[in-house]
Amino acid sequence: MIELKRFVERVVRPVPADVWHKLRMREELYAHLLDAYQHELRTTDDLVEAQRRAISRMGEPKVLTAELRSTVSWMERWPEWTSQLFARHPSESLGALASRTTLIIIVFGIVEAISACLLRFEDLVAWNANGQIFVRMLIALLGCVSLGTFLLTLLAEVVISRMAVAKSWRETIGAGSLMAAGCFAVVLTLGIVVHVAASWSFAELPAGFRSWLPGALAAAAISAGACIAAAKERRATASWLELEIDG
Amino acid sequence: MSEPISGNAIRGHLETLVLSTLERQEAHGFEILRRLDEAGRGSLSMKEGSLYPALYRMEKSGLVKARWDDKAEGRGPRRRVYRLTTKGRRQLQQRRQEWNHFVAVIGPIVGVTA
Repeated sequence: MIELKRFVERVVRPVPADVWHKLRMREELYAHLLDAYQHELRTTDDLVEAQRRAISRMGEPKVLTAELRSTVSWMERWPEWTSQLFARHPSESLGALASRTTLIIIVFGIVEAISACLLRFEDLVAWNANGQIFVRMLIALLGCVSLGTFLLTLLAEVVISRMAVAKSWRETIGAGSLMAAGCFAVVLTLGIVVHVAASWSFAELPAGFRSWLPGALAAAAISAGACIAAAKERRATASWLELEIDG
Repeated sequence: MSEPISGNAIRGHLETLVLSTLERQEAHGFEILRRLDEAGRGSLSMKEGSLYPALYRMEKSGLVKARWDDKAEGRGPRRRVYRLTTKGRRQLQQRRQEWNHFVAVIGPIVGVTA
């Protein structure tokens, strides 16, 4: 039945819909193809011929992809486009993925920084205390966010891969705790560094810790939850995504 | 026997055809096509894949409602069963009236009486 599955994947993979919507399309089209295949077997004993006929009943894959694409709303396409931007490509190494993700974040960061500079233009030109604090914070923020993104991308990919093959809840919780701890450390460090950079004094370190603690805890919980969701998606789609559909 | 009705000729009426096949009983995609084929006595010819985008559009606009068929669980992929909603029934009635009107007006012009 691999040819039937391959046809389904050829049709559904390019559709810009979210993971669970695409999984539904796959399952439904595959069930239909299996029914068609059984139907064709009534008229031929040749299994390959029955598969070929079942597939040809469905129509051109490209036409069907376009028809399915037209049923996906723009509201659904936008998050899907974003998740594709940060998704790991088939032959991409872990380091390359982390570097690419960091680069994207840096580009967004620079755009944000330019906008912020325009708002603080007078302070920057006068180079007064406010301007100096602003520049120190900006440099600290950009540096920490870039490094943090790189480390968290590496960690997240390892954790998600581990969760995707986890055989018990214990393993999942273990991997999730690792992600939460990593995210907590990165966000808290980022907060403290920015705080210290703003005040330009290590005496502000405890205050930075206190004010960023709730944020770091929230980020830790969110990151662990996001990894569990991503691992669930990966498990559900693994058998489809490993199919070769070219040619 | 004349050529089977296919392509755009069916596509333009696919939603109405699907609504009418679901009027009596819910069904999954393959069954919908089987009913259409039976009702059309082999004179309808369409690419079967096109049914699903139509079903998704109809579901989105509230004409049909879908659920997974749990009976099939554990025996291959699950099937999604579609049933008509109240809005779908109203739409079907409206399309029937439109169709009747169309035939009543166009029929005599082209020299066909119902």
